[in-house]
Amino acid sequence: MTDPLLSIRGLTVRVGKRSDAPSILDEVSLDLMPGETLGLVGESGSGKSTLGMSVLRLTSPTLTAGTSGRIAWKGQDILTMPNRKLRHIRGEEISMILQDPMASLNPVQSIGTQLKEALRRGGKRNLSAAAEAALAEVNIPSPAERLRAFPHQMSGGMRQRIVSAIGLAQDPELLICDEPTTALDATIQYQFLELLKALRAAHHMAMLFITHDFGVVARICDRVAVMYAGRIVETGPVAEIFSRPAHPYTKALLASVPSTSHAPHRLPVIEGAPPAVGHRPQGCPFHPRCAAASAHCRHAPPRTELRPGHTLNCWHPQEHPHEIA
Amino acid sequence: MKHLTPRRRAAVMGASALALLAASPGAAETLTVAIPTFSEQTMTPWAGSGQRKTYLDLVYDYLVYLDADGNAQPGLATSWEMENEGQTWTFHLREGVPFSDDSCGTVTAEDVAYSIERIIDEDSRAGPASTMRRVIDSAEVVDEHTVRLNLKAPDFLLATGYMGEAQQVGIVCKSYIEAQGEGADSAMPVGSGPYVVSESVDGSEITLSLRESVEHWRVSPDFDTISFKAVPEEATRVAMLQAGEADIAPVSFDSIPGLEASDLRIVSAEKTWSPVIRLGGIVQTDPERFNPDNPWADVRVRQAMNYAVDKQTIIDELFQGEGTVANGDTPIAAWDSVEPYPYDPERARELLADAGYADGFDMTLKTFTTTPGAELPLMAEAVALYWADVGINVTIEPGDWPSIRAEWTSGKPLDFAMTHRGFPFANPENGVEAGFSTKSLFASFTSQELEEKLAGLGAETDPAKRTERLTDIGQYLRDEAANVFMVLANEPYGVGPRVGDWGIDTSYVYNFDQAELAE
Amino acid sequence: MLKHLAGRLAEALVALLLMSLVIFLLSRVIGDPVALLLSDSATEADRQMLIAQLGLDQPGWRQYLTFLGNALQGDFGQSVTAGREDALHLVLSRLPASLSLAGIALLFTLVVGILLGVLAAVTRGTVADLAVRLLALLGQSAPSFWLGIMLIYLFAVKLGWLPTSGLGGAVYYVLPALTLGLFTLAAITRLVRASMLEALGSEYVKLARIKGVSEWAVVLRHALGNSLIPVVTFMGTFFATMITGAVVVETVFAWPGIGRLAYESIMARDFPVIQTVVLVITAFFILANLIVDLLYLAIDPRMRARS
Repeated sequence: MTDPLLSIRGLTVRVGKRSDAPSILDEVSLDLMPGETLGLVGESGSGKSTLGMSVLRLTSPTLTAGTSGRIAWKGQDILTMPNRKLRHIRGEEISMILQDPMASLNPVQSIGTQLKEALRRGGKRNLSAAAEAALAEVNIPSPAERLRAFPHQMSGGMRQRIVSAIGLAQDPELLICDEPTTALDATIQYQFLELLKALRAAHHMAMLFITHDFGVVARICDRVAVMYAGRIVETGPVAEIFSRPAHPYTKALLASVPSTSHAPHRLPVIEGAPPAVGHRPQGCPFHPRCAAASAHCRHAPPRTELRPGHTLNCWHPQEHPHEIA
Repeated sequence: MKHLTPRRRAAVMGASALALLAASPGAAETLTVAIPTFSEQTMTPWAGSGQRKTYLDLVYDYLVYLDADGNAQPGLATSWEMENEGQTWTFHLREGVPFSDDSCGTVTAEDVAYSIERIIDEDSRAGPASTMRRVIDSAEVVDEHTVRLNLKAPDFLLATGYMGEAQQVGIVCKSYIEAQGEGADSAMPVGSGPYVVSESVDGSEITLSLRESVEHWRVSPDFDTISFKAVPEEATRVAMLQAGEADIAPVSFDSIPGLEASDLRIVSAEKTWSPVIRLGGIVQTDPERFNPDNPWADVRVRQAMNYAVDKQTIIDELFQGEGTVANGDTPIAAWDSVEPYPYDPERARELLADAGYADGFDMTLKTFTTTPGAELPLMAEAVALYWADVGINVTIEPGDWPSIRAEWTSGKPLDFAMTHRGFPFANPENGVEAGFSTKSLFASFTSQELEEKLAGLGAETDPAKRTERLTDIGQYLRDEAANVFMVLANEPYGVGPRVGDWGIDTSYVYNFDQAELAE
Repeated sequence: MLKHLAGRLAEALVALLLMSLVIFLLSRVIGDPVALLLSDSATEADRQMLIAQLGLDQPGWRQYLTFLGNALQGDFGQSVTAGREDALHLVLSRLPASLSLAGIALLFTLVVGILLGVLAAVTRGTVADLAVRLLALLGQSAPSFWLGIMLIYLFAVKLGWLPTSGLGGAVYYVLPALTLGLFTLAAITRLVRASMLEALGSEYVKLARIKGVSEWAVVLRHALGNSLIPVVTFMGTFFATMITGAVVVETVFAWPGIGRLAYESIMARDFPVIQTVVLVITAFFILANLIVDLLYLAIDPRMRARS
């Protein structure tokens, strides 16, 4: 069995150093194997973006100070690594595509300057040629011309492709995508996901794909981890989670999304809203909104492995074998 | 302790040769004088105000000089006669006094006549130009060293007055000015004084150098260079004195304790200005400018306003004791016998009650600052407090001198009072005329009786009787309480350790060429 | 680009023309110089003579047209006080002192203000940040008159390191430039700190960090460039602060510049000089704003696209 590329254990992120400071992430653990694409799904505020940022130690100083646990990248702990070493992991080994293509490019620098900065770090020699090739790889027409252009002169879809080109410039082994398609409209979204798939194959990358959209997960991910209120509530292979979701939250979430494959299987929309940071309940954080909740749920739920690779944290796993397609 | 006796003048006047021997050759020494303003920074006597005398007096000589008591001493004129009942004056000039420019030769009657004619020209901007025009008809050359002045009206004090060192008739070189044409005002000036202007930086610095090749007939200065710096801010001048960057600078009374704490001397020009409160609208001889509705149109109210103020306390507190209680609006020697109003609030209340103002009245007092005169607004506040005590309710309106002066001379029946710094006229009669004659735009008080007294003074030929008449006028102004007389104030200068003996006798005579180098 | 410049130039001319009318009217409101020029013992006849000499007996509109006509030919009239010196010559002779002081103050302000602003933003929440913010607060609240006197007292009188006042070599610039620039320095520091913090929290700075760019390069190459845009925008305002500050600073430091000339000419009701000073300042103001516009175009590509 190969070692995981990324192994997160007991990651807790608090707002500040104090041990009683409210937490954004609570004891999160997950593994990512080489070449694997893991989808990280949850509503906004579930902590999935913070998790993505923590992997590169890019959270704000307050959060960095309140981070504990272990993020092992090929066996080395990112959280305790010296800055110098971390800088070589950033971009070269782990890269990231941010959510907002409008904001993630520097408005006063040309595309070429920003792309070449990454390419130079990647050790490329002929920067102009490399830059053109990088743009061509993400399907940007007339790349030589585009290199001189500024971000405000381009469409959202094009900018996101440029951000991808920058993210891939140093040939990383892991690409973290933080809701990269959210700001794009539907057709562009589709094209962009196809592009990412192609790039993943070409660069032999693993991906950590952060999204709130199960449709996107279905299209690109191998495995999925469902997050709620700073915790991972259920993990498993995509097909299994889609066909046999066991956590009441996962079920509710799947139900509230228009199905992309099978016939719609609607459940009532989840009542209430996710708890805010600092106001999370004891025990299972979902229990105040959960139809299946019992008195047990005020205590930390047990971790159950339903099948190999499919685990969940719940007192009342919901099994519906008849739904197996 | 602060005022140095002006022994130097006698020494130089009497025995200039001796003084020359005493002069120290030694290393080049610079005297730095920081003054608030260069005024126009023009270099001809007629192209601006008397404030320029700080530096121009070192360049130009005057016909007549004054000793510490105001008595005439020979200047470029060694002697003079008055004839024709004060309407013709003849000046005999000192011979062989060289101008600073070789092409000019020595001072002649041509130069003197030209200098006088030029200053009374219509476009002259000299302070006394308009009054001089009313007095002087023409200046004629009698011979190379004799000048005759023909007057339109008698002037018995012409020699010590307009022709004296405290006024502006510096003697210029006629041929040089004519050769310069329009640019004469800004060109390097040519005079017969002990120094020449070597550099004049606009608004910043005027540097004068001693004419070393010439033994000056009047003084033999210790300093080879005198540098004037224009420093408008008083606090900066004080800092310059403390840092040793300036040797002499006028300061305010407030700064005296601080300067003395830094081991700097204070040299005061005594009674050179006179803070006073002038009451508006009592030009009783001009219906246009008389406002009978003012409470102070009644002499009893004016007297009450004088009695109500403790002037000595104001002098002690605001002027650091540098002044005496005023008996008139201007320091005039002939008024020495006139008693100032004592502080007597009871008497003030009685007088107000007699005049029908037992409950007091409301009035406006306008005030501003000048140099000297930074204390005027504070003085206004103090006076308002004393007046409030007898029921006079004062509203103080701070303003700026140009605006207030324009309003004061607007020819309207004024209904307010203002603080004023008094007149710095060298000739006391000019001050009386400016303040109290109907024909003066600036007049603050007039009466028919006073007009007659002024006419009598103008016609009097006997010097002793003139003094008597002047004293009588002073007593009359005091009894009529023409103004609220406040202080005959000194003008303090901070003096640094490099300066030995130096002093100012009267306003507008600065004697920087007589400052001695400390041993 | 050329069209843009031509447009701005046309605007500038209109502004100057309007300013000439405004200042002509305003200077007449504050009263005429006649009362000041007359001696204390002057009579009504003296007054009438002087009024005629100064051309103030003409109706206002004619005075203005005369002024405008002459000004277009480069003749701004003569000072009524200073021995009738040519007003334009007087103003131009005082200009270098003011410009050099303002230039040095501005340079000092920009360099130090940006440095401090960046320092405070990068060290946000630490003692260094607190110290810089305190300094900025002081700088913006200390009246420049008081500040100038205090600096003179400390550095010239107590320590003897610097001259108190006056125009001279480099050392003479230190205190006046500091006094003149401190308010602006504080403003720039606060501005840079705020915009730097915004930039440091931005997505594009995150992306730069994701690339593995060093923290120095992140601050200098990515955050700073964007943080300077608001500084440039405010530069026009800073220039105005320099002009108004010059009146006080030039008085305190006995600096023979245009600010003191403006103040003195107003006190003397010297119409031709007031008018000339104001028009020259206006011209410089317009020029400064034009430079700001060009700078803006240079550093922000989005503006280039718009113009």
